[in-house]
Amino acid sequence: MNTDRLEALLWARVDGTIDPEELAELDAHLAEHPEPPEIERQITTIAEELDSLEKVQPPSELRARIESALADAIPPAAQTDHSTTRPHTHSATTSPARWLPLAASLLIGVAIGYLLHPNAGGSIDQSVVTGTMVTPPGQTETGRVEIQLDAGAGSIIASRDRADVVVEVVLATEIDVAVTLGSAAGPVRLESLLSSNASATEITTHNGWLVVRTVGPGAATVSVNAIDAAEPFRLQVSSGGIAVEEHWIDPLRNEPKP
Amino acid sequence: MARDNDAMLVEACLRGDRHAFDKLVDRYEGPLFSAAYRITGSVEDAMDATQNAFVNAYEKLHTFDPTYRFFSWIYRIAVNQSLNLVGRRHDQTTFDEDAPAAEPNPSEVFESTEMRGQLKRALLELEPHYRTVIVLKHLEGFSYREIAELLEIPEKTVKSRLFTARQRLRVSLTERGFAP
Repeated sequence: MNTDRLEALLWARVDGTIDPEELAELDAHLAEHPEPPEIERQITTIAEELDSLEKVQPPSELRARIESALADAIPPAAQTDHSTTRPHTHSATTSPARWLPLAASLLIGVAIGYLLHPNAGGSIDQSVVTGTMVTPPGQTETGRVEIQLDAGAGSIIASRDRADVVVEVVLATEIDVAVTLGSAAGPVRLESLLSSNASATEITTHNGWLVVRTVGPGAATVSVNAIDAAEPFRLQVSSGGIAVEEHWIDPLRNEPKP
Repeated sequence: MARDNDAMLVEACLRGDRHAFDKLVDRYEGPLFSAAYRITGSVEDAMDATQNAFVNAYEKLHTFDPTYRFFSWIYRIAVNQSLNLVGRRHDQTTFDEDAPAAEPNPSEVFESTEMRGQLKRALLELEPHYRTVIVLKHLEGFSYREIAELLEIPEKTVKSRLFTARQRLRVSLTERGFAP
């Protein structure tokens, strides 16, 4: 029996997942070697040490941080309560010229609904796509972040020039990505949908947040406006209901917001 | 039992009962922080990962599919958050040794102390996806199936990843001159 096989069987025995045939094979091997092999002792010790590694207690301030962050979060009930929160969803699969006047008039209202509904997107694959920020951290100070989705699924690039932010979502596959934009200063306004050739692009607002949902493949570019150029701007990307990345784009301060 | 109760708390939260989510925070703050700490090796990163996990879960609670288990869902979010933070951090050699243990055990302060310290360091030097399966299996006590569900990878991949992770851990400890 080679070392890899022996190691695999020993770990399976430790895990309690070894089947009778494998156990017989292991026992036969060990019977032929009266001295316990070094590897057996190592595995037993490592397993015991790993299993006895202590749980780590969270620092006491963590709870306060969580509560404070939750206080600023969008309540899920508000997002699903269509009776009290009048939905506004805008689909923009056509040209911006046709789309913009309607959007401008509708964005006044509080918006929610189809975009945030769990079944939005029908049969679209909602698997989680994790993202990686490829822009060096220092560049967030200049107001630009770039997020690459895994497996070449696409990218999100957001560039800020004072109060104006341009967000470009490029999706290579049929995935569903939501970009949520917010500002500490006040409501975020849509300036224009600059272009879209994605399968669907929908924009909603809710409590001052602007949500751009794009279904790939294809690309969408939107221009938005924060009420105050001096305040940081929050960008959150999610796919399948799970956040991929979150950044503050802050052109005027040296420290990115947590 | 507690996990069955999670579904009721989620439901209550979706009906607008904010305190219901606080109970979920009570229940999972410790486990999530502990897992995040072991994955990131940093108290600050673990706090960020835990906080972000709860906020994301809260904001996206309406997308949670109640046919799945809440704890799997929020663990997955926390693990993703942790891995994202690790991915961003170039210097992965720092390790907060002073994170408070839940149950300090004075009797452990002999020969196993050195082994444990080496083990923690070797663990942190593993690539994040290997470290994660070790954390979920040994520290959190998840089964292969649960880990597969959490990481959204096939159970077979969990087994092979765990095998490689353990093998590397053993080799690393041996190379450090520590052969149990």
